[in-house]
Amino acid sequence: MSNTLQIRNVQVEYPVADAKLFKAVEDVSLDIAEGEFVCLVGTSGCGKSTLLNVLAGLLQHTSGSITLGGESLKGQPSNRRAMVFQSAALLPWRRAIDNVSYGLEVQGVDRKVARARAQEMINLVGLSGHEQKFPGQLSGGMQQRVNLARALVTNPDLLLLDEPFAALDAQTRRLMQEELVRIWQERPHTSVLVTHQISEAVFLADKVAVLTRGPARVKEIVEIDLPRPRDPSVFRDPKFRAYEERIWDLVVAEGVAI
Amino acid sequence: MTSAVETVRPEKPGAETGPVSPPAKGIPFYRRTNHRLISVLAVALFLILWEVSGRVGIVSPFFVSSPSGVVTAGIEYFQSGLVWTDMKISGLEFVIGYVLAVVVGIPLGLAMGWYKTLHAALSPFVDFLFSTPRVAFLPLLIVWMGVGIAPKVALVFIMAVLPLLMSVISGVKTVDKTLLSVGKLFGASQLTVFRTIVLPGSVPSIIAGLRVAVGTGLIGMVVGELYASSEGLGYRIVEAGQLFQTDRLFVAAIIVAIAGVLLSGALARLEKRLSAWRS
Repeated sequence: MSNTLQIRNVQVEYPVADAKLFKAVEDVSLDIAEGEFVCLVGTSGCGKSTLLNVLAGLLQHTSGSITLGGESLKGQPSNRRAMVFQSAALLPWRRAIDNVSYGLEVQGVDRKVARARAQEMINLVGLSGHEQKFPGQLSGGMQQRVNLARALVTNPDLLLLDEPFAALDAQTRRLMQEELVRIWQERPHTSVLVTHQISEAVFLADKVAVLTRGPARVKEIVEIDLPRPRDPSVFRDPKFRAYEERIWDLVVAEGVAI
Repeated sequence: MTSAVETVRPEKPGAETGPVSPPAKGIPFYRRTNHRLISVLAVALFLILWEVSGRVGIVSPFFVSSPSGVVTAGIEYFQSGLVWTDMKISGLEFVIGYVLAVVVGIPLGLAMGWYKTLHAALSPFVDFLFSTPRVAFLPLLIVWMGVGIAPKVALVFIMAVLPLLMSVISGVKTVDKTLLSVGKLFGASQLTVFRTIVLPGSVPSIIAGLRVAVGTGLIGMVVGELYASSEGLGYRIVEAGQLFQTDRLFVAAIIVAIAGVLLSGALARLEKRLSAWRS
Protein backbone atom coordinates (compact mmCIF):
# COMPACT_ATOMS: atom_id res chain seq x y z
CA MET A 1 0.00 0.00 0.00
CA SER A 2 1.03 3.58 -0.53
CA ASN A 3 1.45 4.57 3.08
CA THR A 4 3.21 1.57 4.53
CA LEU A 5 5.47 2.44 7.44
CA GLN A 6 8.77 0.62 7.10
CA ILE A 7 11.13 0.56 10.03
CA ARG A 8 14.45 -0.99 9.01
CA ASN A 9 17.27 -1.80 11.43
CA VAL A 10 16.67 1.31 13.43
CA GLN A 11 19.14 2.05 16.17
CA VAL A 12 18.88 4.92 18.59
CA GLU A 13 21.66 6.17 20.80
CA TYR A 14 21.80 9.34 22.73
CA PRO A 15 24.54 11.01 24.72
CA VAL A 16 24.45 10.74 28.48
CA ALA A 17 26.93 11.94 31.09
CA ASP A 18 30.69 11.48 30.61
CA ALA A 19 30.42 11.68 26.82
CA LYS A 20 29.04 8.15 26.75
CA LEU A 21 26.29 7.02 24.47
CA PHE A 22 23.24 5.26 25.78
CA LYS A 23 21.78 2.75 23.39
CA ALA A 24 18.01 2.79 23.82
CA VAL A 25 17.04 0.94 20.65
CA GLU A 26 19.34 -1.76 19.34
CA ASP A 27 17.91 -2.92 16.05
CA VAL A 28 14.23 -2.65 15.29
CA SER A 29 12.61 -3.65 12.04
CA LEU A 30 8.88 -3.52 11.65
CA ASP A 31 6.42 -3.16 8.79
CA ILE A 32 3.11 -1.51 9.39
CA ALA A 33 0.60 -1.54 6.57
CA GLU A 34 -1.63 1.42 5.79
CA GLY A 35 -4.58 1.47 8.14
CA GLU A 36 -3.03 -1.04 10.50
CA PHE A 37 -3.04 -0.62 14.28
CA VAL A 38 0.16 -1.79 15.97
CA CYS A 39 0.87 -1.84 19.69
CA LEU A 40 4.35 -1.87 21.17
CA VAL A 41 4.71 -3.65 24.48
CA GLY A 42 7.73 -4.48 26.56
CA THR A 43 9.14 -4.13 30.03
CA SER A 44 9.53 -0.67 31.54
CA GLY A 45 12.50 1.19 30.17
CA CYS A 46 12.93 -1.09 27.16
CA GLY A 47 12.94 1.82 24.72
CA LYS A 48 9.42 1.70 23.33
CA SER A 49 8.70 5.33 24.07
CA THR A 50 12.06 6.26 22.58
CA LEU A 51 11.08 4.44 19.42
CA LEU A 52 7.79 6.31 19.34
CA ASN A 53 9.54 9.65 19.76
CA VAL A 54 11.80 8.73 16.86
CA LEU A 55 8.77 7.92 14.73
CA ALA A 56 7.36 11.32 15.74
CA GLY A 57 10.55 13.09 14.71
CA LEU A 58 11.21 14.40 18.20
CA LEU A 59 14.33 12.22 18.45
CA GLN A 60 16.73 11.14 15.71
CA HIS A 61 17.75 7.56 15.06
CA THR A 62 21.45 6.95 14.67
CA SER A 63 21.22 4.31 11.97
CA GLY A 64 18.69 2.40 9.94
CA SER A 65 15.81 3.90 8.03
CA ILE A 66 12.19 4.81 8.59
CA THR A 67 10.02 5.42 5.57
CA LEU A 68 6.35 6.21 5.28
CA GLY A 69 5.02 5.43 1.83
CA GLY A 70 8.61 5.33 0.58
CA GLU A 71 9.47 8.77 1.92
CA SER A 72 12.08 9.04 4.64
CA LEU A 73 10.82 10.25 7.99
CA LYS A 74 14.20 11.34 9.22
CA GLY A 75 14.49 14.95 10.27
CA GLN A 76 12.03 17.45 11.59
CA PRO A 77 8.47 16.54 12.54
CA SER A 78 6.00 17.08 9.76
CA ASN A 79 2.28 17.33 9.46
CA ARG A 80 2.14 13.75 8.19
CA ARG A 81 2.40 12.56 11.77
CA ALA A 82 0.45 13.35 14.90
CA MET A 83 0.87 12.24 18.46
CA VAL A 84 -1.42 11.63 21.40
CA PHE A 85 0.55 12.30 24.57
CA GLN A 86 0.34 10.47 27.85
CA SER A 87 -0.32 13.68 29.74
CA ALA A 88 -3.04 15.39 27.76
CA ALA A 89 -0.63 18.28 27.07
CA LEU A 90 -3.45 20.65 26.20
CA LEU A 91 -2.81 24.38 26.03
CA PRO A 92 -4.60 25.42 29.23
CA TRP A 93 -5.49 28.90 27.97
CA ARG A 94 -7.29 27.59 24.88
CA ARG A 95 -10.82 26.31 24.92
CA ALA A 96 -11.37 22.67 23.96
CA ILE A 97 -12.23 23.49 20.37
CA ASP A 98 -9.25 25.84 19.98
CA ASN A 99 -6.97 23.11 21.28
CA VAL A 100 -8.36 20.77 18.64
CA SER A 101 -7.88 23.29 15.84
CA TYR A 102 -4.34 24.15 17.00
CA GLY A 103 -2.55 21.88 14.52
CA LEU A 104 -4.56 23.25 11.62
CA GLU A 105 -3.85 26.83 12.67
CA VAL A 106 -0.14 26.12 12.82
CA GLN A 107 -0.32 24.63 9.37
CA GLY A 108 -1.99 27.77 8.07
CA VAL A 109 -5.43 26.35 7.40
CA ASP A 110 -8.12 29.01 7.04
CA ARG A 111 -9.66 29.81 10.43
CA LYS A 112 -13.22 29.02 9.45
CA VAL A 113 -12.28 25.73 7.83
CA ALA A 114 -10.16 24.85 10.88
CA ARG A 115 -13.07 25.56 13.21
CA ALA A 116 -15.48 23.47 11.20
CA ARG A 117 -13.09 20.53 11.11
CA ALA A 118 -12.35 20.89 14.81
CA GLN A 119 -16.07 20.84 15.56
CA GLU A 120 -16.42 17.70 13.51
CA MET A 121 -13.66 16.03 15.56
CA ILE A 122 -15.18 17.26 18.83
CA ASN A 123 -18.40 15.52 17.80
CA LEU A 124 -16.52 12.39 16.77
CA VAL A 125 -14.82 12.03 20.15
CA GLY A 126 -18.13 12.65 21.94
CA LEU A 127 -17.45 16.10 23.37
CA SER A 128 -20.33 18.04 21.81
CA GLY A 129 -21.46 20.66 24.29
CA HIS A 130 -18.02 20.92 25.91
CA GLU A 131 -16.19 22.70 23.09
CA GLN A 132 -16.13 26.06 24.89
CA LYS A 133 -14.65 24.67 28.11
CA PHE A 134 -11.07 25.18 29.16
CA PRO A 135 -8.96 22.06 29.82
CA GLY A 136 -9.03 22.80 33.55
CA GLN A 137 -12.80 22.37 33.46
CA LEU A 138 -12.62 18.93 31.82
CA SER A 139 -12.15 15.55 33.48
CA GLY A 140 -9.07 13.45 32.72
CA GLY A 141 -10.98 11.28 30.26
CA MET A 142 -12.41 14.32 28.47
CA GLN A 143 -8.95 15.87 28.25
CA GLN A 144 -7.69 12.73 26.55
CA ARG A 145 -10.59 12.93 24.10
CA VAL A 146 -9.48 16.47 23.21
CA ASN A 147 -5.91 15.19 22.93
CA LEU A 148 -7.07 12.50 20.50
CA ALA A 149 -9.24 14.91 18.52
CA ARG A 150 -6.32 17.32 18.20
CA ALA A 151 -4.19 14.56 16.71
CA LEU A 152 -6.90 13.31 14.34
CA VAL A 153 -7.94 16.72 13.02
CA THR A 154 -4.94 17.04 10.73
CA ASN A 155 -5.79 13.63 9.26
CA PRO A 156 -2.24 12.35 9.70
CA ASP A 157 -0.76 9.50 7.69
CA LEU A 158 0.65 8.14 10.92
CA LEU A 159 -1.00 8.38 14.33
CA LEU A 160 1.26 7.85 17.34
CA LEU A 161 -0.11 7.22 20.82
CA ASP A 162 2.20 7.24 23.83
CA GLU A 163 0.42 5.39 26.66
CA PRO A 164 -2.57 7.65 26.15
CA PHE A 165 -4.68 6.18 28.94
CA ALA A 166 -1.99 5.40 31.51
CA ALA A 167 -2.94 8.31 33.74
CA LEU A 168 -6.64 7.46 33.85
CA ASP A 169 -8.44 5.43 36.48
CA ALA A 170 -9.31 1.85 35.57
CA GLN A 171 -12.95 2.48 34.66
CA THR A 172 -12.30 5.55 32.56
CA ARG A 173 -9.43 3.73 30.93
CA ARG A 174 -11.62 0.84 29.85
CA LEU A 175 -14.26 3.23 28.48
CA MET A 176 -11.62 5.19 26.60
CA GLN A 177 -10.24 2.01 25.06
CA GLU A 178 -13.70 1.19 23.77
CA GLU A 179 -14.04 4.77 22.51
CA LEU A 180 -10.70 4.58 20.74
CA VAL A 181 -11.73 1.38 18.97
CA ARG A 182 -15.00 2.98 17.87
CA ILE A 183 -13.29 6.19 16.68
CA TRP A 184 -10.47 4.36 14.96
CA GLN A 185 -12.90 2.08 13.15
CA GLU A 186 -14.74 5.16 11.93
CA ARG A 187 -11.49 6.82 10.83
CA PRO A 188 -8.83 4.16 10.34
CA HIS A 189 -5.34 5.64 10.56
CA THR A 190 -2.05 3.83 10.47
CA SER A 191 -1.39 3.81 14.19
CA VAL A 192 1.36 2.91 16.63
CA LEU A 193 0.46 2.79 20.31
CA VAL A 194 2.80 2.20 23.22
CA THR A 195 1.27 0.60 26.29
CA HIS A 196 2.07 -1.31 29.44
CA GLN A 197 -1.34 -2.91 29.62
CA ILE A 198 -1.46 -6.12 27.61
CA SER A 199 -5.24 -6.36 27.47
CA GLU A 200 -5.26 -2.86 26.00
CA ALA A 201 -2.79 -3.94 23.33
CA VAL A 202 -4.79 -7.05 22.41
CA PHE A 203 -8.06 -5.15 22.34
CA LEU A 204 -6.82 -2.34 20.12
CA ALA A 205 -4.23 -3.91 17.85
CA ASP A 206 -4.01 -5.78 14.59
CA LYS A 207 -0.44 -6.64 15.55
CA VAL A 208 1.36 -6.53 18.86
CA ALA A 209 5.13 -6.10 18.71
CA VAL A 210 6.78 -7.41 21.84
CA LEU A 211 10.12 -5.72 22.41
CA THR A 212 13.08 -7.18 24.26
CA ARG A 213 14.37 -5.70 27.44
CA GLY A 214 16.37 -2.58 26.46
CA PRO A 215 18.10 -1.83 24.24
CA ALA A 216 15.04 -2.72 22.25
CA ARG A 217 14.79 -5.29 19.52
CA VAL A 218 11.59 -6.87 18.23
CA LYS A 219 11.27 -10.15 20.10
CA GLU A 220 8.12 -11.30 18.45
CA ILE A 221 5.20 -9.99 16.48
CA VAL A 222 1.85 -11.40 17.53
CA GLU A 223 -0.91 -11.06 14.94
CA ILE A 224 -4.20 -10.47 16.70
CA ASP A 225 -6.80 -12.40 14.78
CA LEU A 226 -9.92 -11.02 16.39
CA PRO A 227 -12.91 -9.82 14.39
CA ARG A 228 -13.18 -6.28 13.04
CA PRO A 229 -15.15 -4.17 13.67
CA ARG A 230 -14.34 -4.98 17.23
CA ASP A 231 -16.46 -4.27 20.27
CA PRO A 232 -16.15 -4.94 24.00
CA SER A 233 -17.57 -8.44 23.58
CA VAL A 234 -14.11 -9.61 22.44
CA PHE A 235 -12.94 -9.23 26.04
CA ARG A 236 -14.94 -12.42 26.69
CA ASP A 237 -13.58 -14.25 23.64
CA PRO A 238 -11.40 -17.22 24.74
CA LYS A 239 -8.95 -16.26 21.99
CA PHE A 240 -8.57 -12.86 23.68
CA ARG A 241 -7.44 -14.53 26.91
CA ALA A 242 -5.06 -16.76 24.99
CA TYR A 243 -3.40 -13.76 23.27
CA GLU A 244 -3.12 -12.00 26.57
CA GLU A 245 -1.41 -14.99 28.21
CA ARG A 246 0.94 -15.50 25.32
CA ILE A 247 2.08 -11.88 25.22
CA TRP A 248 2.41 -11.81 29.00
CA ASP A 249 4.67 -14.86 28.84
CA LEU A 250 6.81 -13.17 26.20
CA VAL A 251 7.14 -9.99 28.27
CA VAL A 252 7.86 -11.84 31.50
CA ALA A 253 10.49 -13.98 29.80
CA GLU A 254 12.46 -10.76 29.31
CA GLY A 255 12.48 -10.25 33.05
CA VAL A 256 10.14 -7.75 34.63
CA ALA A 257 11.66 -5.07 36.75
CA ILE A 258 9.85 -4.70 40.05
CA MET B 1 -19.53 29.24 38.20
CA THR B 2 -22.00 32.02 38.87
CA SER B 3 -23.01 30.42 42.13
CA ALA B 4 -19.37 30.28 43.23
CA VAL B 5 -19.00 33.99 42.56
CA GLU B 6 -22.14 34.72 44.53
CA THR B 7 -20.98 32.81 47.56
CA VAL B 8 -17.52 34.32 47.75
CA ARG B 9 -18.52 37.88 47.02
CA PRO B 10 -21.57 39.12 48.87
CA GLU B 11 -21.66 42.77 47.74
CA LYS B 12 -22.63 44.33 51.03
CA PRO B 13 -20.97 42.62 53.95
CA GLY B 14 -23.21 44.26 56.52
CA ALA B 15 -26.45 43.53 54.72
CA GLU B 16 -26.97 39.90 55.63
CA THR B 17 -24.98 39.88 58.83
CA GLY B 18 -26.35 42.92 60.55
CA PRO B 19 -25.92 43.34 64.27
CA VAL B 20 -29.58 42.49 64.86
CA SER B 21 -29.36 38.97 63.41
CA PRO B 22 -30.24 36.50 66.16
CA PRO B 23 -27.17 34.81 67.64
CA ALA B 24 -26.87 31.27 66.35
CA LYS B 25 -26.17 28.96 69.26
CA GLY B 26 -22.76 27.37 69.50
CA ILE B 27 -21.21 29.12 66.50
CA PRO B 28 -18.68 31.79 67.49
CA PHE B 29 -19.35 35.23 65.97
CA TYR B 30 -16.17 35.21 63.83
CA ARG B 31 -17.46 32.16 61.94
CA ARG B 32 -20.84 33.70 61.28
CA THR B 33 -19.41 36.92 59.88
CA ASN B 34 -17.67 37.26 56.58
CA HIS B 35 -13.98 37.96 56.31
CA ARG B 36 -14.19 41.34 54.62
CA LEU B 37 -16.15 42.67 57.56
CA ILE B 38 -13.52 41.33 59.94
CA SER B 39 -10.81 43.15 57.95
CA VAL B 40 -12.74 46.41 58.14
CA LEU B 41 -13.29 45.99 61.86
CA ALA B 42 -9.62 45.23 62.46
CA VAL B 43 -8.56 48.43 60.70
CA ALA B 44 -11.18 50.44 62.57
CA LEU B 45 -10.02 49.01 65.89
CA PHE B 46 -6.42 49.83 65.03
CA LEU B 47 -7.31 53.45 64.20
CA ILE B 48 -9.29 53.82 67.40
CA LEU B 49 -6.46 52.41 69.52
CA TRP B 50 -4.01 54.68 67.75
CA GLU B 51 -6.12 57.77 68.42
CA VAL B 52 -6.96 56.85 72.02
CA SER B 53 -3.42 55.87 73.00
CA GLY B 54 -2.22 59.33 71.97
CA ARG B 55 -5.03 61.16 73.75
CA VAL B 56 -4.73 59.34 77.05
CA GLY B 57 -0.98 59.76 76.95
CA ILE B 58 0.20 56.16 76.61
CA VAL B 59 2.46 57.29 73.77
CA SER B 60 3.33 60.79 72.70
CA PRO B 61 1.59 62.03 69.52
CA PHE B 62 4.83 63.89 68.90
CA PHE B 63 6.36 60.57 67.82
CA VAL B 64 3.47 58.58 66.40
CA SER B 65 0.98 61.30 65.46
CA SER B 66 -2.68 60.26 65.48
CA PRO B 67 -5.37 59.56 62.89
CA SER B 68 -7.01 62.92 63.50
CA GLY B 69 -3.61 64.65 63.29
CA VAL B 70 -2.89 62.91 60.00
CA VAL B 71 -6.28 63.94 58.60
CA THR B 72 -5.72 67.57 59.61
CA ALA B 73 -2.23 67.57 58.10
CA GLY B 74 -3.65 65.96 54.97
CA ILE B 75 -6.26 68.68 54.56
CA GLU B 76 -3.58 71.36 54.97
CA TYR B 77 -1.34 69.60 52.49
CA PHE B 78 -4.11 69.51 49.92
CA GLN B 79 -5.23 73.09 50.56
CA SER B 80 -1.70 74.43 50.21
CA GLY B 81 -1.61 72.93 46.71
CA LEU B 82 1.83 71.52 47.46
CA VAL B 83 0.44 68.01 47.17
CA TRP B 84 -0.21 68.45 43.44
CA THR B 85 3.34 69.50 42.57
CA ASP B 86 4.72 66.68 44.73
CA MET B 87 2.43 64.10 43.16
CA LYS B 88 3.18 65.42 39.69
CA ILE B 89 6.94 65.20 40.07
CA SER B 90 6.90 61.84 41.89
CA GLY B 91 4.31 60.45 39.50
CA LEU B 92 6.38 61.53 36.52
CA GLU B 93 9.50 59.85 37.93
CA PHE B 94 7.61 56.68 38.66
CA VAL B 95 5.71 56.49 35.37
CA ILE B 96 8.74 57.11 33.15
CA GLY B 97 10.91 54.72 35.15
CA TYR B 98 8.24 52.02 35.30
CA VAL B 99 7.31 52.27 31.62
CA LEU B 100 10.99 52.01 30.69
CA ALA B 101 11.26 48.96 32.94
CA VAL B 102 8.29 47.35 31.20
CA VAL B 103 9.52 48.22 27.72
CA VAL B 104 12.96 46.79 28.47
CA GLY B 105 12.09 44.09 31.01
CA ILE B 106 9.42 42.13 29.18
CA PRO B 107 11.14 41.77 25.77
CA LEU B 108 14.56 41.21 27.34
CA GLY B 109 13.12 38.69 29.80
CA LEU B 110 11.36 36.80 27.02
CA ALA B 111 14.54 36.76 24.93
CA MET B 112 16.70 35.65 27.87
CA GLY B 113 14.27 32.90 28.74
CA TRP B 114 14.13 31.68 25.14
CA TYR B 115 17.74 32.02 23.93
CA LYS B 116 20.19 30.09 26.10
CA THR B 117 23.21 31.93 24.70
CA LEU B 118 21.77 35.34 25.55
CA HIS B 119 20.89 34.04 29.00
CA ALA B 120 24.42 32.80 29.53
CA ALA B 121 25.83 36.18 28.47
CA LEU B 122 23.55 38.38 30.56
CA SER B 123 22.61 36.32 33.60
CA PRO B 124 25.78 37.17 35.59
CA PHE B 125 24.86 40.85 35.39
CA VAL B 126 21.19 40.25 36.10
CA ASP B 127 21.93 37.98 39.05
CA PHE B 128 24.42 40.46 40.44
CA LEU B 129 22.04 43.40 40.18
CA PHE B 130 19.14 41.36 41.50
CA SER B 131 21.06 40.38 44.62
CA THR B 132 22.46 43.88 45.26
CA PRO B 133 20.55 46.43 47.34
CA ARG B 134 20.03 48.53 44.24
CA VAL B 135 19.23 51.76 46.09
CA ALA B 136 22.94 51.82 46.89
CA PHE B 137 23.51 52.98 43.31
CA LEU B 138 21.71 56.27 43.89
CA PRO B 139 24.84 58.33 44.67
CA LEU B 140 26.44 56.93 41.54
CA LEU B 141 23.36 57.81 39.48
CA ILE B 142 23.52 61.36 40.83
CA VAL B 143 27.19 61.58 39.88
CA TRP B 144 26.25 60.50 36.38
CA MET B 145 23.04 62.39 35.86
CA GLY B 146 22.98 65.36 38.21
CA VAL B 147 20.32 66.31 40.68
CA GLY B 148 17.29 66.60 38.40
CA ILE B 149 14.62 64.06 37.64
CA ALA B 150 16.94 61.77 35.65
CA PRO B 151 18.64 59.88 38.53
CA LYS B 152 15.24 59.31 40.18
CA VAL B 153 13.82 57.90 36.97
CA ALA B 154 16.90 55.72 36.65
CA LEU B 155 16.51 54.43 40.19
CA VAL B 156 12.83 53.60 39.64
CA PHE B 157 13.91 51.81 36.47
CA ILE B 158 16.60 49.62 38.02
CA MET B 159 14.43 48.92 41.05
CA ALA B 160 11.51 47.82 38.85
CA VAL B 161 13.23 46.14 35.94
CA LEU B 162 15.10 43.42 37.83
CA PRO B 163 12.24 41.64 39.57
CA LEU B 164 10.27 41.94 36.33
CA LEU B 165 13.14 40.41 34.34
CA MET B 166 13.57 37.54 36.79
CA SER B 167 9.87 36.78 36.72
CA VAL B 168 9.58 36.86 32.93
CA ILE B 169 12.69 34.69 32.47
CA SER B 170 11.40 32.04 34.84
CA GLY B 171 7.98 32.25 33.19
CA VAL B 172 9.49 31.36 29.82
CA LYS B 173 11.76 28.69 31.26
CA THR B 174 9.03 26.91 33.16
CA VAL B 175 6.64 26.52 30.23
CA ASP B 176 5.75 22.81 30.09
CA LYS B 177 8.20 21.04 27.75
CA THR B 178 5.49 18.68 26.52
CA LEU B 179 3.53 21.68 25.27
CA LEU B 180 6.58 22.75 23.26
CA SER B 181 6.68 19.25 21.72
CA VAL B 182 3.04 19.65 20.73
CA GLY B 183 3.90 22.71 18.68
CA LYS B 184 7.00 21.09 17.24
CA LEU B 185 5.07 17.95 16.27
CA PHE B 186 2.61 19.94 14.22
CA GLY B 187 5.56 21.40 12.35
CA ALA B 188 5.32 24.84 13.98
CA SER B 189 8.27 27.15 13.41
CA GLN B 190 10.25 28.40 16.41
CA LEU B 191 8.48 31.73 16.08
CA THR B 192 5.05 30.08 16.04
CA VAL B 193 5.91 27.95 19.06
CA PHE B 194 7.00 31.11 20.83
CA ARG B 195 3.90 33.07 19.85
CA THR B 196 1.30 30.37 20.48
CA ILE B 197 2.78 28.51 23.46
CA VAL B 198 5.61 30.34 25.23
CA LEU B 199 4.05 33.80 25.25
CA PRO B 200 0.57 32.86 26.50
CA GLY B 201 2.16 30.42 28.93
CA SER B 202 4.28 33.22 30.41
CA VAL B 203 1.45 35.70 30.94
CA PRO B 204 0.86 34.81 34.61
CA SER B 205 4.57 35.26 35.39
CA ILE B 206 4.71 38.52 33.43
CA ILE B 207 1.83 39.95 35.42
CA ALA B 208 3.25 38.69 38.72
CA GLY B 209 6.51 40.45 37.75
CA LEU B 210 4.67 43.67 36.90
CA ARG B 211 3.03 43.63 40.33
CA VAL B 212 6.29 43.14 42.18
CA ALA B 213 7.82 45.89 40.04
CA VAL B 214 5.15 48.37 41.19
CA GLY B 215 6.28 47.87 44.77
CA THR B 216 10.01 48.02 44.08
CA GLY B 217 9.55 50.95 41.66
CA LEU B 218 7.76 52.95 44.35
CA ILE B 219 10.65 52.23 46.73
CA GLY B 220 12.97 53.60 44.05
CA MET B 221 10.81 56.69 43.68
CA VAL B 222 10.77 57.49 47.41
CA VAL B 223 14.42 56.68 48.03
CA GLY B 224 15.45 58.66 44.94
CA GLU B 225 13.95 61.77 46.51
CA LEU B 226 15.51 61.28 49.93
CA TYR B 227 18.76 62.59 48.52
CA ALA B 228 19.51 65.76 46.56
CA SER B 229 15.88 66.73 46.01
CA SER B 230 13.61 69.66 46.62
CA GLU B 231 10.18 68.28 45.84
CA GLY B 232 8.19 65.09 45.51
CA LEU B 233 6.48 62.76 47.97
CA GLY B 234 9.77 61.20 49.07
CA TYR B 235 11.28 64.62 49.66
CA ARG B 236 8.19 65.59 51.67
CA ILE B 237 8.72 62.53 53.87
CA VAL B 238 12.34 63.50 54.62
CA GLU B 239 11.44 67.12 55.19
CA ALA B 240 8.61 66.23 57.59
CA GLY B 241 10.90 63.80 59.42
CA GLN B 242 13.63 66.38 59.87
CA LEU B 243 11.06 68.82 61.27
CA PHE B 244 9.50 66.15 63.52
CA GLN B 245 6.18 66.66 61.75
CA THR B 246 5.15 63.04 61.99
CA ASP B 247 1.58 63.70 60.84
CA ARG B 248 2.81 65.22 57.56
CA LEU B 249 5.21 62.32 57.16
CA PHE B 250 2.33 59.89 57.44
CA VAL B 251 0.25 61.81 54.88
CA ALA B 252 2.94 61.51 52.20
CA ALA B 253 3.64 57.87 53.05
CA ILE B 254 -0.06 57.02 52.87
CA ILE B 255 -0.39 58.65 49.45
CA VAL B 256 2.47 56.44 48.17
CA ALA B 257 0.86 53.38 49.76
CA ILE B 258 -2.51 54.15 48.16
CA ALA B 259 -0.85 54.53 44.75
CA GLY B 260 0.79 51.12 45.21
CA VAL B 261 -2.43 49.44 46.26
CA LEU B 262 -4.38 50.94 43.35
CA LEU B 263 -1.78 49.96 40.74
CA SER B 264 -1.42 46.49 42.13
CA GLY B 265 -5.19 46.09 42.22
CA ALA B 266 -5.48 47.20 38.59
CA LEU B 267 -2.89 44.58 37.62
CA ALA B 268 -4.75 41.95 39.62
CA ARG B 269 -7.89 42.73 37.61
CA LEU B 270 -5.91 42.51 34.37
CA GLU B 271 -4.56 39.15 35.49
CA LYS B 272 -8.08 37.92 36.19
CA ARG B 273 -9.16 38.93 32.71
CA LEU B 274 -6.17 37.39 30.98
CA SER B 275 -6.32 34.13 32.87
CA ALA B 276 -9.99 33.26 32.82
CA TRP B 277 -8.84 29.75 31.95
CA ARG B 278 -7.41 29.23 35.43
CA SER B 279 -10.74 28.34 36.94
